[in-house]
Amino acid sequence: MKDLETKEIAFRELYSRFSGRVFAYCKRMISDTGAQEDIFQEVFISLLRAAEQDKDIQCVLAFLLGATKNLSINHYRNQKQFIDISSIDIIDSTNTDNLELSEMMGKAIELLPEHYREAIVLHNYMGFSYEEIANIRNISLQDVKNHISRGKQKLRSILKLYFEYK
Amino acid sequence: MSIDNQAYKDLIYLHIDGQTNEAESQALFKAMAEDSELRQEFDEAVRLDKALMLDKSELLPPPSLSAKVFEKAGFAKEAEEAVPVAGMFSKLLSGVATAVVLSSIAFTGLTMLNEMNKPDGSGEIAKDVNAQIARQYDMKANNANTPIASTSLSSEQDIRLKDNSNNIYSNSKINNNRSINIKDDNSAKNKNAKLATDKHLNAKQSEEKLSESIALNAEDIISEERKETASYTDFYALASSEIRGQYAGNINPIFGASGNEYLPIDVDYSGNSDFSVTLNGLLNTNYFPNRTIFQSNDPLQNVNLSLSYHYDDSQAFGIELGAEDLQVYEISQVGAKFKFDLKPTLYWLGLSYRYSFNELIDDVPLRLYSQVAVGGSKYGPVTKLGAGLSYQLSNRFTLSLGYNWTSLMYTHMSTYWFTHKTGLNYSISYKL
Repeated sequence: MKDLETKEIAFRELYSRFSGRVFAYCKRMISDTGAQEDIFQEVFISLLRAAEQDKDIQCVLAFLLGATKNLSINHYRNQKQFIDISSIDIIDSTNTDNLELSEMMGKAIELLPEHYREAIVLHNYMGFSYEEIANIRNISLQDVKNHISRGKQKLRSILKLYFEYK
Repeated sequence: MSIDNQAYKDLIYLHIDGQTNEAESQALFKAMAEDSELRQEFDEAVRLDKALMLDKSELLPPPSLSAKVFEKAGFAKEAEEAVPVAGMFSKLLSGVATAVVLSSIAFTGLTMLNEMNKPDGSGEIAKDVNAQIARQYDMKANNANTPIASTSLSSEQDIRLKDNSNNIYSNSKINNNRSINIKDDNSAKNKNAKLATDKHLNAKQSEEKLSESIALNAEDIISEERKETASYTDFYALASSEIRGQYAGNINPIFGASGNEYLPIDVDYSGNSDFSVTLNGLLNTNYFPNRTIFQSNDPLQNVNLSLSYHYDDSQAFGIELGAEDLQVYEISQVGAKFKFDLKPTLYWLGLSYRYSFNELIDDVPLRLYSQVAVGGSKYGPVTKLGAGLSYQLSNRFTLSLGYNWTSLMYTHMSTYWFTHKTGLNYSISYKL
């Protein structure tokens, strides 16, 4: 098999396995809609480049997550757009009547404090265990538990009217 | 809201994520039984969890975005097949298909191997074991009576195979060529097992050196549950055919991360036979005693062929048939004169013993060897001593270059005489 074919097969396989989770992470962690897809593309290209440079990739998903975070940080370096409005608990239902679940969830998650949001996205969208999240974020397991449970409580209260309406 | 109530609310979400222990869960349910606010929180938490799952399943990159990624990557072909498939049914189908394909590969390869191993009578047994292996793909086996093959990754690339009593039966390393050298500690035999699935072979292409292929391979052979966090250290392999045959009754030749994951991959056992054929060539440099003036380096007159049995990784016994020139004269008396007829080509048949030392450099199959051979010829016994370097080109081929001393003892007029020669010895071995 030719080298290029080999490379392509490997890349397609990796894309097949991880694109959903990386895409979900981009959608839920990056508020700039235009940047979401750009960063998503760049993440996979950076994986390919790293492989071509024979970099030691111990865990592909961790690499993709790191690349996504780095690219996000670069993107927001000059335009900080993470919204920290932890005091907001409820979305006015009049603005959400026509929103589908995905849009609604996206907006609700965006309102979470960043450390809550990332913990929930890593667990519920990327499939990392609590222990893995603790390692990734270099925090204690108890902190992860707190972030996820408190984050979900906040999320529930944000979505309360939406759920009741539905 | 009381602190206790907040703590119970935290427990609700942790319970749904499976993060509470039994005592915490019991306390939570007891509290919920008495508190309607907690019950409502629980219902809403479950609803939120379902909504998160649904949201996740709907978040897939659109085909147009996937196409852009592949275009940027230089793979302009349609990316449809790479778009992830959502839904439990599709995942199940995908998992089953993967299991079937991998199991088929493993089963086919191992069955073929067993056919080759039939002379020792273990073929049929091993075949049954292999069928079992194939079925065990991606299954968890916690039964204490199940033969255990567990790994202990003491360092990044070490793989060890143990039995129920934690005896180490094999010790292997994944070298830079992605082939696995399995060493059976009991018999000290080295076995080479190359990872032979397509993807492994792909990863082996050194020019490409695709890290993602390596990671991918790791994921191919670990369980579905753990594939996301796979790393190169998660490589596992089947034991060599020899180990499987020898310990088929009490060992399951599959490596797993924690001893309860049975994950076969296909292994190419080529070159794992204990027998090899070697073609030796000699380049004579000196003859003793130097009264002999004839010197020949005719390749056809300086070769020997040997069939060797590799007792273990270091020792080999062989039968050698040689044709080489040693300075021998047939003397006949014609009247008062003696007539000397040079008989440069000497055929001899003998036994040899070769000892190979450990690799000079880790993971480079370059080794020192020494060899002795004793045989008989028409004129008398032949003795050969040699030493040199051997380099293993592949599972099957080994090249050697060394220096050789050959001696022939013969009788003449009731007196024992010796003739010797030294020279370079070069050989190529083919493992059967």
